[in-house]
Parts: sequence; C-alpha cells; structure tokens
Amino acid sequence: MMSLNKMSLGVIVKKQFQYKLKAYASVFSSLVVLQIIAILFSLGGNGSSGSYNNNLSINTTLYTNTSVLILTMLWIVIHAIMITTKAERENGFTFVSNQLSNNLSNALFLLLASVLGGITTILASFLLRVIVYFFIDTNPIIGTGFTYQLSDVLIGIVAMIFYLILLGSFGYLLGMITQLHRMLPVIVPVLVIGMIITIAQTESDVIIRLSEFYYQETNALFFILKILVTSILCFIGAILVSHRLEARR
Amino acid sequence: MSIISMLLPLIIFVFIILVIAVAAGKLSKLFTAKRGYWMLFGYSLLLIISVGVYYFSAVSEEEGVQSKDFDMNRDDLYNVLYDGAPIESYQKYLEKEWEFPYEGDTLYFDYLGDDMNTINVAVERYDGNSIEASFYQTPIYVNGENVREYMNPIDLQLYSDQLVIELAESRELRFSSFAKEFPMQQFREGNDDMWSGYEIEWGTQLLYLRIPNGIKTSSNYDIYIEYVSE
Repeated sequence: MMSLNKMSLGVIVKKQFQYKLKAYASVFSSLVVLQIIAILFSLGGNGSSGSYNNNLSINTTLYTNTSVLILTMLWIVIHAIMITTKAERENGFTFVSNQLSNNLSNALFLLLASVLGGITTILASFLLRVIVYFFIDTNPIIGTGFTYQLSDVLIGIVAMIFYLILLGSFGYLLGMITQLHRMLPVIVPVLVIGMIITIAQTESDVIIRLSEFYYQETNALFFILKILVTSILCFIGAILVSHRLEARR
Repeated sequence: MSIISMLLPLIIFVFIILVIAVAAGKLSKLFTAKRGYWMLFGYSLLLIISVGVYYFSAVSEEEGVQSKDFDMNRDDLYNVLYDGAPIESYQKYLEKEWEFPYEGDTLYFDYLGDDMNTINVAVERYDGNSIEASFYQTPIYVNGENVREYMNPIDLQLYSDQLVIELAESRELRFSSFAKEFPMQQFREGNDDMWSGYEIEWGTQLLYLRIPNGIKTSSNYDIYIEYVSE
C-alpha cells in the first residue's frame, strides 16, 4: 500500500471524489426518477379553490413545483445518510485514504449533488409550466405567478442549492451519529419522529422559528453565511463522530 | 381521530423515505455509472429545452397581468344604500340603463330567473313621469385581473304594472394559476406571506331606480329595496 506521506490530502480527496462519482452514480439517476415522478404528481394541480357570488362562479386550479422541491430535499437527506453506512465507509478505504479524506470527499460529493439538485429543481418548474400549458390545462392563466424573471431563476437556484447543502450536511451528521451504535439506526428515527409529535402536540413554534432563521433572511450574504456555518458545523461534528468510529475498529 | 390525522402525514413521510431509499438501491443495480450520468444528461437537456420553449414561445406571454384599472380602493355600491352616498359618483360603474314611461298608481316588483342571484335595489323618488333604471357593477378581481366582462348583466321588463327584474344566469369561470416556488422568494421582503395562488376581490351590484312621486311600490317577492334620498 502506498504511504499516506507520499500523497497530499488534496490528491487523496480528489481520487476518492472521482471514485465516488462512479460509485454513487445512482444518486443522480434516482434524482431524475424522483423529479419526473414529482412533476407527474403536480400535473393534476396542487390545489383548487372555488367561490361564488353575484351570479359568477370562479374556480381556479393552482400549479406549483412544490412536490419536486420537497422530494429533492428528502432525496439529499436520504442519500447523505446512506453514504455514511458502514458498507459505504469501508468502500471508501479500498485504496489509500483516511477518515478526513473520506469525509471531505463525501462533503464534496454532497456539494455536487446539491448543485445539480438545486439547478434541476428550479428548471423543473419550467418543464411543469410548459407541460401544463401545452398538454394539460386549457383554462386561461391568471395571476402573476406564471412568469419567471431572470432574477427569480437565479435567486431560486442559489437558494435551493444552499438549502440542499444545509439538509445534506444535516443528513450526513445524522447518518454518522446512527453509526455509533447498532441500536441507533432504530432509536434516532424514533427520536426524530417523537420530537416532531411532541412539537406538534405542544404547539411549539420551534420549527417555525428555525425555518424563519433561514427563510426570512433577506440579505443574501447573511443567508449564505448562516447556511455555510451550520453546514460546516454539521460536517465537523460528522468528522469527529467518524474518528470515534475509527478508534473503535 | 386527532392522533390518526396527526400520524398520517408522518406515516406518508416515512413511506416516501422508504420508497426513495429502496428506489435508490434498485437503481444502483439497474444503472451503471455511465447509464446514470446519461440519464441525468438527458433529463438536463429536457429541462433546458423546456426553458427555451417557455421563453421563446407563447407560453411566457400567457401571463395574466394585473389589470391596468386595478383599483383596490374602488367604491362600494353599498354606500349608496346605507350611507346616503350620491349615485352620481358611481357613474364609471354604470353597466346598463332603461327607461319606461309609466302612468299607473302602483308598481309591483318581481324577480324572474335564478333567485340565487338576487340584487339590491335602491329607489329614489323624483318629479317625473317615467321609471328610470340603472344597473351598476363594480369590478371583480381574480388575482388582480378584472373579470367583470364575463358577468351576465340583469335585464328589466315592464309588464303592465309589474316591473320584472330578470336575474342573470349563473356563469362559471375556470382559471389556472401558478405560484412561484419558495426559494425564488428568498431575498424578498415579506416572503413569509405565503400566497395560495388564489385571491379574489368581489365587486358589488346595484339596481338604481328613479320612480315618479306618487306611485306606490309593492314587492311580492323577497326583494331587498332601500329607499334613498327620503
């Protein structure tokens, strides 16, 4: 085996990243399949409203790309968790590497996945509009939500990419924590679901406040900083956990 | 029941996660790396084409822009009925006018047509010898667009001593609306105002009658009549 001293960390990370691009190609095919399914679900409309007054009945069908957004967010979390499993971690050691390089290459892979997921999610909004316009709904389009300005698209892509980075890093940390003990893959989801139920029962606004912390940030620089700092903290946490995992081997 | 309704989204959520995880596992066996990237490439191409179609075809011109005459502060015709506002200040909302010469002593009002679509009637007395009727309708905005033109107006007929208000048939309008996705609202002020994609501002209708002094009026149906300027 080649000595670690003879290869810089950057080279190792690069090689591992290249390996993961091949090994995890199914991550991207699943993204495509999921987004297509979500678009198909959205074709029926995401909501409808009706109102009647003065001999006029008005019915509107609302179309949004929310299904694609939600499924893409779930997709990044699930894949971030899946690449922390023992089998995947051991695959990373088939050639010269260490925990740090493995984590960094995973972070790079999740970053790439976030960029591709963010771009395709926002562009899928165009596909939905075109399909609805030409093939699905012949009713007149009313309102101002149909037209995209260039600024809408750019803001949407940037924001979506950073949301995926945030969720990906959170999923990665969560996945790494579940590897600490064989019971944790069962306990952690139960804890998460239990917390959601508790929050719902106590009508606590903690989730709303948390989402407001990111979503209501109108300053682009602060928004990016908030997400980057949170994500870096998640990755540092994951690296520390992975070192503990290595020490136990 | 409340526990079930609370748990149902969670069950669906867990189910979706399982489906994604299983699908990802199956796909990794089904697709080689090369096929996976070709799939992504093909999909990206489709998305780029859809962007091109959107911007270079009639699709992007379809947007229903907010009406030029959008007037959120438009006057309410009920002010004529209840606050004594002069009808002259509502002339821009005048839709239709009638005039019937009349020499009888009593005038009966009646409805004809769909009684779901009744209308408020204001009656003003004046020195004259004919019944003057005016129908007013303020704009109706759906997502900021004026749809008043789609409404069927009422009609009036005088049969002997009976003034018949022929109510309009109901009409159904169907629209499609789109909502911009939340990441596109990220850096905008007030982005927490979640828009449902549907906003309607109903207008008001009024039938304004000028009836000569001395003519008694009577309604043999449930017609709401407000006597103004008395």
